Amino acid sequence: MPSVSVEFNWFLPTNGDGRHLTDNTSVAGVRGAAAHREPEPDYLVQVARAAETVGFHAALVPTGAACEDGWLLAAALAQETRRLKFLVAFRPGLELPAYAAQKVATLQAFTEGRLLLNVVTGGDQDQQEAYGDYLQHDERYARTAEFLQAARRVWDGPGQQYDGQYYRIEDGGLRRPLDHVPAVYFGGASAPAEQVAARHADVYLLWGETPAMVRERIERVRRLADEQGRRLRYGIRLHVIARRTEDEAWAEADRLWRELTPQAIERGRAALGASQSVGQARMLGLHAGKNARQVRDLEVAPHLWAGVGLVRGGAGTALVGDYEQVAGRLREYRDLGIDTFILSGYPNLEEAWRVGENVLDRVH
Amino acid sequence: MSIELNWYLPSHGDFHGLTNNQLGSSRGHVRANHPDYLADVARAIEYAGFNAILIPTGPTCHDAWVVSAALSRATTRLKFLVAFRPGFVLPAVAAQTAQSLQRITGGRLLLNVVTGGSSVEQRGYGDFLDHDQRYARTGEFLDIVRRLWSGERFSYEGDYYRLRDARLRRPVDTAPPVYFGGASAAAEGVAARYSDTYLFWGEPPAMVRERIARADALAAGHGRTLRYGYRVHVIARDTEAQAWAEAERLLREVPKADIEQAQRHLARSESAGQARMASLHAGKTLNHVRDLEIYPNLWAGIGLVRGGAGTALVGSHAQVAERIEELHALGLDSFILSGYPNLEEALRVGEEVVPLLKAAPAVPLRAAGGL
Repeated sequence: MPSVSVEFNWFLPTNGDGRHLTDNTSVAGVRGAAAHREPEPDYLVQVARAAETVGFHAALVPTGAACEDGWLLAAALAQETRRLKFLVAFRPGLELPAYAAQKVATLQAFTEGRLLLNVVTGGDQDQQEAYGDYLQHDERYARTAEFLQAARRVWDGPGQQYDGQYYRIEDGGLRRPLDHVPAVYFGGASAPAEQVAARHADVYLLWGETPAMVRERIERVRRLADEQGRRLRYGIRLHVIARRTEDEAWAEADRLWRELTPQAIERGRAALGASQSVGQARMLGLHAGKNARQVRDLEVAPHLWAGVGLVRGGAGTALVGDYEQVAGRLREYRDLGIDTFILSGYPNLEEAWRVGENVLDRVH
Repeated sequence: MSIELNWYLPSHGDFHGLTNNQLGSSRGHVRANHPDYLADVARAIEYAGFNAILIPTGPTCHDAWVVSAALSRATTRLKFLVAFRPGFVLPAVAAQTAQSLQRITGGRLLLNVVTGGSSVEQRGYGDFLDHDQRYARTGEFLDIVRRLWSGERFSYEGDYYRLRDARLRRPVDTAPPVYFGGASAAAEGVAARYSDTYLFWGEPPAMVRERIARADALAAGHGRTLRYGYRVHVIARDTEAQAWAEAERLLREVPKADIEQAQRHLARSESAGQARMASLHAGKTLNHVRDLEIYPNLWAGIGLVRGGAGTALVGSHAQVAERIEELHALGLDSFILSGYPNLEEALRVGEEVVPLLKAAPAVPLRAAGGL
């Protein structure tokens, strides 16, 4: 492998945080009335500052019906940090590309160029329709492609036209071209998603699948990008349960897991199983049909634990082990071609410190 | 009712002279809309005792939502009157964004609904509806966001929006008050049903009276009462002569060709409010600065080159205070003021004009706090 510098990012829990798996999930009936730590701005400032201090590159600001608005949180948190970048997740279908492009320009000004974009096309039909978006899964990806094309045109400056199937712009564009066009991170595991990623993304993101599954996807997307004459970077989104000793780490995973009631696990299965997201199906596939009697029954690859995904949509796996073991697994992903990690823990403030201080240096 | 005094945030740049109608491309000395300057102006406006800043919307402006989130960290009490265009974002998303901004700012959000008066500008953003359709869409938009804020869970089948089983996952206690601009018949109908504060550009009292009477009647038809607001520039000085000398300077500095170009551009607008502004100076021969004084201390010179709010209150500090009182007596409770440049003029008006008002401002002023 050519040596690449690895980018470590941390997760900003804008839909709640705490020491329990139920504190950071959007599954109704699993999440309590309130998380132990609600996403109050003053708490999120602490997480962002911790992530910056221990050396993370960017904070991933997620998107969802239970999340705070990522654009606005990034704007506020940028005033409390100096170097940390903001990987703002957003849904292209819910606002016009020219408008989003202008918002990006403002955010670049107010973050001094620290904005990164994470394009989330949306895999849940119910959630999209509740927002007023009735396109079907594959159409949504086609629209995402147009959205990114149109936004790039707006960033190029005045006098822009765009005439697509989903969007039209007549004499639009920023008054001045955007100086720092943000890198576009992109999630989506379906075939249409891979096609759009190959053409329009800079960094292709995967949830924490096993190394074998990751290898297969990187190979496929790399071929698609090659056909476009493009080269992508690859990133992975993982939880981390790292402790001084392996036993302590698995004891912590065991605690998180044993707190889940059978009802919560059943609700998680039902809600997440209804998703159209191919990535979600791949996450569920990791633990489907497993009758876990002990915590390590959900260890789906060495040190990769699928327990988080029992009740949490999206990223559903954690690296569990002592600091060196976790670092070793990160090196393994790096050697597969992953150069971007988006990590998180329960809770995100203390675990940012722990991972930053004990794990990151061991990876390089 | 007490007076609410707000100031304008020049998020397209600030000026020592009149700007032309393409906000932000004025001749003369320009302060760029750099975040540091905008934070300075916001702090000055808060220090001067104003209730809120109006953050405008348009192709030359920063995005007002983002600006208010950032400036909320630089201020403690100042509210944010965020101007936005309903047509660019789905209403359920805007409702969620607004509740998020309420939490980020600690309950300091006010919304200013700008439906958009220029089809050319709207098409640059990708919105191809015509003027009256845009207002009809704004009506549906506000209907939806208000129901979501109230905690309702519902499906919706409108002409412009369709939602299935929509609700806010974490509704806020306090929905942001809705300010609303638009002078056409289509706009008035929507204002009457869905706005809290209906805003006018700085028209003379007779024109304001006529609009308040009409909007009152329309609102009563829906069992509602509205507040009214007034957006006007201010040129206040120690003496009347000094104030008019400043107005004269502003006018003299603008080349005639710029005025003609601006007038041609503004004449193409479909905005009824813009047409009303233009009528204030239309056909007037301009030999002297006060030829554009269309009512005592109300000067239409700004509108020669600036789109939108085109009048200024010009006079001594006491005269300007008197005019504000007079407008307040007509039924205007909310004022959005501005000056050239905004940092210095906000401090001046806060320190020199506001203490002369007999009607108590809604927010205790710093000066009254005994500092």
